[in-house]
Amino acid sequence: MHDSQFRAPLDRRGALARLAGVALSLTGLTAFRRSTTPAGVAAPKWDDRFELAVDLEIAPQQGYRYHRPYVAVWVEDANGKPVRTLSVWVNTSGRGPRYIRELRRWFTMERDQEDAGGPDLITTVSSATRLPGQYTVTWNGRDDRGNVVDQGAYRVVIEAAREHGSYQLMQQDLTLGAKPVAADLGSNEEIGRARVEYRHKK
Amino acid sequence: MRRLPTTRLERVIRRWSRRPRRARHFLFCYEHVLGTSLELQVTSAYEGAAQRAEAEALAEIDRLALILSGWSSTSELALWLATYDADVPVSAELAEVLHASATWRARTGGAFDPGAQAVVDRLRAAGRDDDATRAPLPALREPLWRVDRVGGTARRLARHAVSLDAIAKGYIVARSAARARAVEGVTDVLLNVGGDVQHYGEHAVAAGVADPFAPAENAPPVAVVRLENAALATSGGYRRGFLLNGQRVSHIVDPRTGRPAERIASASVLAPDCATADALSTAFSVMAPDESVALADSLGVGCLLVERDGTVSTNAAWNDRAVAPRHDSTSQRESHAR
Repeated sequence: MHDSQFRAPLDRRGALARLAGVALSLTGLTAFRRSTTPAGVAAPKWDDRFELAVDLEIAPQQGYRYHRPYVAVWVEDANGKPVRTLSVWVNTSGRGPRYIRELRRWFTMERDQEDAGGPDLITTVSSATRLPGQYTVTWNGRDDRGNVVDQGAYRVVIEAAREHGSYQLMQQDLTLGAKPVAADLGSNEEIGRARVEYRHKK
Repeated sequence: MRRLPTTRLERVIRRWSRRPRRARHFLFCYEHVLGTSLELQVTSAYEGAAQRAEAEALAEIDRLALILSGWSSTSELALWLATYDADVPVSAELAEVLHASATWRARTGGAFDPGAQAVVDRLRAAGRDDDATRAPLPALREPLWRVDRVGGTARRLARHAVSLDAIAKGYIVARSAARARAVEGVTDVLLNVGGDVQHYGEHAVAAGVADPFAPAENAPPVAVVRLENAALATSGGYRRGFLLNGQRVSHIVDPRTGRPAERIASASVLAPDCATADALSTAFSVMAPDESVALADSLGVGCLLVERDGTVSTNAAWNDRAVAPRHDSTSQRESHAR
């Protein structure tokens, strides 16, 4: 249950992409970058009646209880540029406990800021009892900076790894527009089941 | 033996080792603990102490599960449930949970009742509610058992199915968190088993309550409270349920009517210990919100109730510890429409 929209220092790909973006703008190449989208055709913005849900189930391991693997879920645009980190869970197995100061929930959602006068640091969440290993993260069409994204082609990436275990990467391309769409991503050693669903908000 | 002159590096190391050590946060996550997920956070300056706290918590969970599990045919509970109308010697832990169950059953007017399992079993098997599924209801008004905590015995007085799941998990969470906190060098323990949370320690933490209408991991919570040597438990039918008359219904059944919880989407209780929070959150899932608020007020515990139509009710004890949403202390606190 530690996931979410914190500024992922663990997400090297995101950080690199951001650095690249800064470098591009510093060197005056932003004009060139903009020119990659067709002139005059503005893609419609994300429809807020929709959300993208990613359901995943951690694959059971040998033994009656097992460590949760490291799992990261993020969204990339059609160019492979990370748009939004949805969750990062650390792997605590293997060499022992990890320093987790950077792993707390950090909500930056509009509602929380309004209500509390600023984002709250949430350390844990109480809920109805979950089924073991079953997690859902959702995407509201905002990028890591909180800007509304355009409708279009996106890729959902699920990365799972276990120390002294396997490394798994699952990807699914989706066109997120006016119509609901869903896909099953199959399974691997770490993720027993994964499904992405672009749907009307409940 | 000739003393070697101290090097600069050695002087630096010695100075460093005399400095007070900074507390660090450690996180341990497991799947398939008590049929759900476990998240343990430990604050300590020492990694070894944090690891001992983890081992202590897991050992206590295993020990108590052998006593209280409703899913094992060899737990002490299962063996005791096979007896009838006889004073049977029981462990202090089983006696304590049986006694607490009987107490909450009385205090909630039957809204919390381990015997509700008899109705749940019939509803699940039949897939519909009718006179047959309501047949056990009169029996639910009779005493379930009599516990002699001094003599260490318990006598079962009813034959129908019984489940302690709505209190045993909270009891195990509280006891295990306390064991972990007792480890030398540990300042704070925050244990969350499948949504039942217990904190023991020196520093208050912020704990959220999942939105029953959008319970995703990264979704904003409906509320946030400060937890300091306190517990927070939540009940709701949004993760588990069954089919009844062709409709998906909550797994929580009102022991007084034999009907699944319909009005309340999520009930949370803030109490000193997780067994109390667990039992009361289950009762508040089937009680009317004003009844729940009145009982919570009389017990001095906090409650947050989210109805299916989005109406949110809280009481003063909850608002006192609420971080978000903040409530104006001068306004009416009881009800906030979404």
